[in-house]
Amino acid sequence: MTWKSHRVLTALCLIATFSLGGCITASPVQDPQTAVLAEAISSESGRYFALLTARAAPGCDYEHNMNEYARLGEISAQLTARLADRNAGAALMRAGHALSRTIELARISHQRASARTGDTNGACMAPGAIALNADAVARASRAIASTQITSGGQ
Amino acid sequence: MPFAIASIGAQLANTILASLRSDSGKVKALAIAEGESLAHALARITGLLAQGQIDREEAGVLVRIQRDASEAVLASLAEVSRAAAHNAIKLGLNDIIGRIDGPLTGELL
Repeated sequence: MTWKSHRVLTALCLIATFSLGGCITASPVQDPQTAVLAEAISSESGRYFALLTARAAPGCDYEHNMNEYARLGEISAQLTARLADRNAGAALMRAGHALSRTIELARISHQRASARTGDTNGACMAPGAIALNADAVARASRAIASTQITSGGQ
Repeated sequence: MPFAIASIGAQLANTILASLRSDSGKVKALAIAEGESLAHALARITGLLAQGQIDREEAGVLVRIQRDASEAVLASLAEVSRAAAHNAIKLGLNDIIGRIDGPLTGELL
């Protein structure tokens, strides 16, 4: 790069700092660890929800599965901590927190479904509700993982 | 004037816009797909409630789960859009730098 192009680059970088919220010469950096954590949530939740659908009482109730939610919550906490450590942008941080809430609410929904035993599903969750929760966690976690592939993250 | 200023600006704009068009098309498609996923999920929750598979309280939690999942997806798309804008500007810059370091310098000096 010559001194001329460097001068143009500096000027455009200053413009970009104001218009895009950051210097464009700071190119997005891929973070494999963020992708690994998000994909771990996707794969572990997929495996868990598939097994849960096939379980009968009492193996299907919340008490027998609470450790699975704790594990997913733990990975999710690692993911948001990783994003914070790497100074991820506001959008990616928001996505991480939304995924954490999705997992926590999935836990709560299972807990409530098990507490309501007067229905046809007894202590088990309705299969349709399990499928919905599985899909929600998969969508959210895969979307975060894809930001590390598509854009390179930050 | 040894070179056309307008053509340099137009080339820069074309490079940036071509990149943005490509990425914005992908983001749009993903946003539409997420909207459809959310709509289908809400319809299924309504169906489960109508069938007595879940009660109103559970339905409320399931709706919040879908809302948060969609928020995660759309926030991720916002991140992709931000990075796409950065990449488009970078492409434009590289193009201009190539010209400044190459043909334009030759024309000027």
